[in-house]
Amino acid sequence: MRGPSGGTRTIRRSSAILSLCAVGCVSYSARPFDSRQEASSIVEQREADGLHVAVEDLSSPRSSLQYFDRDLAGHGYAPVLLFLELDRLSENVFDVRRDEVHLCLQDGTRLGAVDPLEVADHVAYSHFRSVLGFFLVFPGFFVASSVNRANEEMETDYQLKSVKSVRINPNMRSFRSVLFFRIPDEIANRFTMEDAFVEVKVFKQGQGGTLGRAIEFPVHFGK
Amino acid sequence: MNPRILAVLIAAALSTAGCGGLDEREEESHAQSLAALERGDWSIAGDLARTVLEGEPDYGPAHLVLGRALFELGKEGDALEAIGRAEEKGGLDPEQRFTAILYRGRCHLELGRKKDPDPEPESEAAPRPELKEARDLFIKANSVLTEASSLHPGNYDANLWRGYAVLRLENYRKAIEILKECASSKPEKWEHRFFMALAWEGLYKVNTQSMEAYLAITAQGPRAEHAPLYDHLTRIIQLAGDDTRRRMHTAIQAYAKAVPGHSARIESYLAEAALREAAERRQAKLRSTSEKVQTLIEKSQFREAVAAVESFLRDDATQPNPSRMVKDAGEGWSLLLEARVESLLGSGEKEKLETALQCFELARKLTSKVDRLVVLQQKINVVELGLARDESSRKIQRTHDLLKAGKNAEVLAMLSGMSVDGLSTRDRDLYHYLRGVASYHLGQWAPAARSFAAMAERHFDGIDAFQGISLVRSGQETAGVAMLAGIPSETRGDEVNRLLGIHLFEKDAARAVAYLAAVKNPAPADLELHLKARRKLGQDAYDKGDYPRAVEEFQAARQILEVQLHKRVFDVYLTLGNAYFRMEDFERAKKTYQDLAEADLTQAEREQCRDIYLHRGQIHLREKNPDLAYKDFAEFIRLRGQMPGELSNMYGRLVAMYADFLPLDRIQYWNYTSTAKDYNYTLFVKGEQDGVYRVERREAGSTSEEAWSRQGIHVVKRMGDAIVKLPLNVNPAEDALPYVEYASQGQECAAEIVAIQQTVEIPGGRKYTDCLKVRSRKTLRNADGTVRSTKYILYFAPGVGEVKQEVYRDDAKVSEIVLSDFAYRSGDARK
Repeated sequence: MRGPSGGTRTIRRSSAILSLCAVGCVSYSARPFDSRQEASSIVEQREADGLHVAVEDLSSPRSSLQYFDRDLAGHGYAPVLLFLELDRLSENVFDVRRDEVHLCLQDGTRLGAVDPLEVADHVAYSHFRSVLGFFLVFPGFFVASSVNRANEEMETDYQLKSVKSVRINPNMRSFRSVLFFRIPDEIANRFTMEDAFVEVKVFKQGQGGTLGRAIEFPVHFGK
Repeated sequence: MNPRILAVLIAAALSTAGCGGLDEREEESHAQSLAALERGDWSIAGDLARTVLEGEPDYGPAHLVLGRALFELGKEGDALEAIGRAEEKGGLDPEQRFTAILYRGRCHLELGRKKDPDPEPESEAAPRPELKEARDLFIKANSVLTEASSLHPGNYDANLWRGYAVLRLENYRKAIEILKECASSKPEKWEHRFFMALAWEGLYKVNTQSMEAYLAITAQGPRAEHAPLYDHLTRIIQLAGDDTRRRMHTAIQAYAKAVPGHSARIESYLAEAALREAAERRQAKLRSTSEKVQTLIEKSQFREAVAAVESFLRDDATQPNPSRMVKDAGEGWSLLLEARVESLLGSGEKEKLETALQCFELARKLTSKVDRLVVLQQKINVVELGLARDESSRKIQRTHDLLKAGKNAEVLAMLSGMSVDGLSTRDRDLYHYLRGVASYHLGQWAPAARSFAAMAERHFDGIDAFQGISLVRSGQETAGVAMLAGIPSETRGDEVNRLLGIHLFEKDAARAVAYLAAVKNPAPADLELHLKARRKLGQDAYDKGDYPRAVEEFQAARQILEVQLHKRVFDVYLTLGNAYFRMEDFERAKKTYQDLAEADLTQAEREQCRDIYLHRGQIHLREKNPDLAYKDFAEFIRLRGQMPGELSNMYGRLVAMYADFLPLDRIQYWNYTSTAKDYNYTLFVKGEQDGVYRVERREAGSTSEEAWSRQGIHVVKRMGDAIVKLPLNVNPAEDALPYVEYASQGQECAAEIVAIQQTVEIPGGRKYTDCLKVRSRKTLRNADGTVRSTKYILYFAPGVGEVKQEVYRDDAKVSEIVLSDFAYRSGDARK
């Protein structure tokens, strides 16, 4: 019986090395949000005193992987994209804070938004694979370096996509930010976004001698 | 169906369903509770369910009945507990389980509605705890009702209330989707259409589609169960168009009429609507009135326009709150009236003026702008004045008659309160004239002056005199005097002349004199002042050396004194005489002096007038009447006059000529003292006979008598055989001093005046002036050829006699005898 030829062996060896590289090296790859989409153009939106607010559920695995390179719902986080847009005729100023936004689930559970670093930390790539790399042909430090880089990129991207608070005013009429809602373990198995909505409280600045006031309203997800 | 039959049937059904735990009575009660539930007798149903549960506490269906009854009675919390117990106890068939879930969901829903009632349209809720609690309850309701829907996917109630729960969660699109399912199962029901319309409003605000949906429901007729719909209509009706609003309003009115126990909100709405309707009626009336007023004013039918406005205002006055629109309309009418009525003013016709007045008053009443109020008031004043002009004119004329009758107080009373604005110039002047003259006659000088000053045309006789006098007497002397002085002399009355005289006296006596002289019927005070002015002028002229003028003034003064006052004032005569004297008109001077000298003057007055003697004496001198001159000079001196230096020599000579240096007829005695030794003697003038005076000499205890007589300028003393002759006056015809020689007892005697105007001062300080110094010598030629002489130097003072005697023997002074005392006879006035 004839053994593999030299060329074949070379190919097999190269493939094995590449496979090992693929297993050991990591990278972060996520899309930015579509900047063309505005709150006022979304069908299921709310308007209050010239502020349009809309939300988009990004917890589906497809959307989550697309924008966060992770199935965040699988990791216990529900990402929701919040759109804010000031009406073009409005001169009002609104403050929106992450702490004032909640995700209300069908069963009445209210989830608070968490820090993106917490999410990034929770879903970060593990260094376990670099340990494996040290035992294999591919050097472990390369793997460790790629993990570090990927995690840093993820942290940066999550932070850029989510802000703690924002002021919408005539100079910044449109804004979008992702909110990460942590899903408690006790409801993780029955978690659903069916009938869920986002409860938003915004603070409208007083102008021209009028007092400022808080406005609270639910914003539902469109289909 | 008969309830009793229904209960039996339900009981039978329950029995067959296996509710074997209940005894017969409980079964019946349970059946009755279900029947009551069907009937809507919620309390009875609840009570019956409790009865069942008392016997069988674990009977789930009874708990469910109780829960439903409590829910319908509005006790959702208790209902939730009862329904929970029903589900917990079990024994529910699938339908009952569905019912339990459905009502549990509805309980949450109603509890949420109680926390957050149906919101007002287009309102934004501020965050508050109740809102969040309500939302939680709606979430629960949705969750529970979703479960119910899953059990009976096509069930109307489950979908209806789930749709409503989603609606209250403001997920309007999903609510519409759910409620659409209701429409497919029971399209004849109204609730889903109502909720769906609410969802449309949530998405698109109040809109035609939603309102048409509500009206379609109300078209079925008013029903008590439609209460939420009608309540909602009251919320949105003001957002609807006119037609839709009317339809909604009609529907609400029909509902309120058909359903007596309607909500307070409906009641409140109807009350507000009634007010709105009233307001609309007011507006409509306002519009129609505005149009009518506009038309009438355009046609110049002002009275009709005013009547229309006032009629409207009367009706509007019954309204509790003044309307802004009425105010605006009133302002517009006011402007219109003001603008158009101007055309009536020019005619001057009474009727038109009255119409204008009416319109202006209404315009003033209608406006609330301060600047227009002022303007309108001014116009009203003008019109009122125009109307009042004729009446005022007549009144003024009547008042003039009163003035002519001398009823000055009545004149003022009648003119009081009358306004002169708007009167013609003539009437206005007459008004002021009447006031002025009446005030003048009443002594009210300041008001009189003001009235006269207010006159525009001074065509009344004597107005300047009235005004000038009023001004002067009210203290405005400068203006008054100027005015009075401007009156032509032929028209000036005594009063004017008098006042001018008085007020010009100090400043311009010459003018004052002219005015005072013009007083035709002078009062004593006028004469006195005239006299005073003349004297002042005369004296001023005299002081300035203008003697003709002085004569003129004093002549006038003298005329006043003698003709009008019938008295004499010595200084007038004196100065007049002096003026004549200065003018060398001696005859008149003498005459004047003579008049004064003959006047009955006091000693003090005489002393003041002593110059007449001085001057007259000088005149006498000029006329070569030295004796008369001496008398006057002597009188001048006697009246304490000081002889001027240039006359003193002349006077001294006159004294020497004419003075009585030995006034025997006046002297009672002389007492003399010798300074050489203790020797004195007294000479008593005892009496006169045939020009010879007996003089008794008393000395050293002896008494002798002498006879003294005058012989021309000499006095001759005879003492026994001895004679002494002395010249005691200077001869006027001779410049040389007199000398006389004579013989006495064999001695050669001579006497002569050696000096005149001597002053002798005797011990004791007494001085005698103008004395004669007479030297007397006796020479005795003895037989042996020796001569012994005795010389006497005698000093004689005029009117006194011998005052001093120096005795020389052989030219050696041996003694000096001086007058120590003398006395005039009693009754001698010249001492």
